[in-house]
Amino acid sequence: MKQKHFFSLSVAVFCLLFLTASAWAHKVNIFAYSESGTVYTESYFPDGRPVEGGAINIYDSNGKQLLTGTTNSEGFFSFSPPAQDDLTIEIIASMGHKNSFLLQKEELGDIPVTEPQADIAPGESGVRQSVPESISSSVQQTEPVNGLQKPLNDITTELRSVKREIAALRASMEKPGLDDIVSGIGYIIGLLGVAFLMMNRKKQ
Amino acid sequence: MHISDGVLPTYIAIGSFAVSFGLMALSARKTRAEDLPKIAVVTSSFFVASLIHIPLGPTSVHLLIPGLVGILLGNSAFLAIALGLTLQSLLFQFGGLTALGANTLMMGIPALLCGLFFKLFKGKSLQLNIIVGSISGGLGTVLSAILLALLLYSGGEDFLGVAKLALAAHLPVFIIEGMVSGFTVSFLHKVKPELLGIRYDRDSKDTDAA
Repeated sequence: MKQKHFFSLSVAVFCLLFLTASAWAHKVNIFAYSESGTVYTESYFPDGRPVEGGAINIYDSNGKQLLTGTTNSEGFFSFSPPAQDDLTIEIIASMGHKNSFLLQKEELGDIPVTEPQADIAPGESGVRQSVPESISSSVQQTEPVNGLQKPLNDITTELRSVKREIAALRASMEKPGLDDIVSGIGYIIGLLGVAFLMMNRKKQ
Repeated sequence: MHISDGVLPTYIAIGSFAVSFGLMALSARKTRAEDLPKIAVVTSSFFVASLIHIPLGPTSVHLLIPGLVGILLGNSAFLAIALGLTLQSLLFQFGGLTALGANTLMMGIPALLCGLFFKLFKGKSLQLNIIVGSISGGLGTVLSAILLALLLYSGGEDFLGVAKLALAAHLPVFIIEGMVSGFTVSFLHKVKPELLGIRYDRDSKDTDAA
């Protein structure tokens, strides 16, 4: 193969590689929300891929560690809040990536004073369903209210979706955007331009 | 590969800042005013390069180009990387601000070393320069991965384990960075060899017409 053909072909293959790579890079994100006495957490990389097998640590407002866990293959981990307190939920993904999310105690709602539920014990992967509709089956009511059981379940399901959307929105606001790129390049050109002027002035 | 806040012990974070400032001052001393436009362009490229993401099984890695920055800027590379990383931390939240000194060392030192490597081994022929350029580019990321493992080791993580993971996870990055550096060096060699520090007679038969 002629050298120039090889070169063009390599460039083409190279560009294809980049087309397949998705957008952003490097930090890890986590957000959490509370629903019906359970806290659900989701950990993911900025391009949306879930953190599998990441370490979760939960601290109270004094920094004391309350609970640990591991994210499952979808990046989820859920737990029953061990205390009515501001919870700091931390994710540690590999190679030095760490992030945390503060869940205010007001968001926890009323926590039943019971032992941590066995089906979401720490150390186990989160068992949360990703499809909201399946949650209504796990919502427990202490006594059926006349004729209002189903609408109540529906509202709880909807509320859960809304809360999740808000938490996801809050987290997504931290993604790097075009304006960040442009401002960064602006800073670089500006700072180095100033340096250039200063160095030139010295020469005179 | 940017280290986040709260991962490194405080004495390492502070010590890294001190060493970084020292190297930045040295780097600034060797920078000439007429190089500043080139530095601006390369810094901008470095700044944006980390946004190019390579998905890889359970983890995610991204392009870094410390090697290429070293090749293109030589001694000014440390300053460029310091500036690029600061802006990445502030604007993209890539890497914590407290870990900025450590991150700068992690990528700045390989840049300087690779720049030196390129300067020592470059020649007049296109093929040689492409090979040396590719090796420098790949080497930059290899050295960064090793420094990452060293820094995380200071925080108590098992060095060999992290090193193996970092090197294995970034293997595609090494190859891609080598290719990127090779292409860039090849292009510049043909179009503007002065940017690579090569001064030669354009009509010389040493160069490749293709």
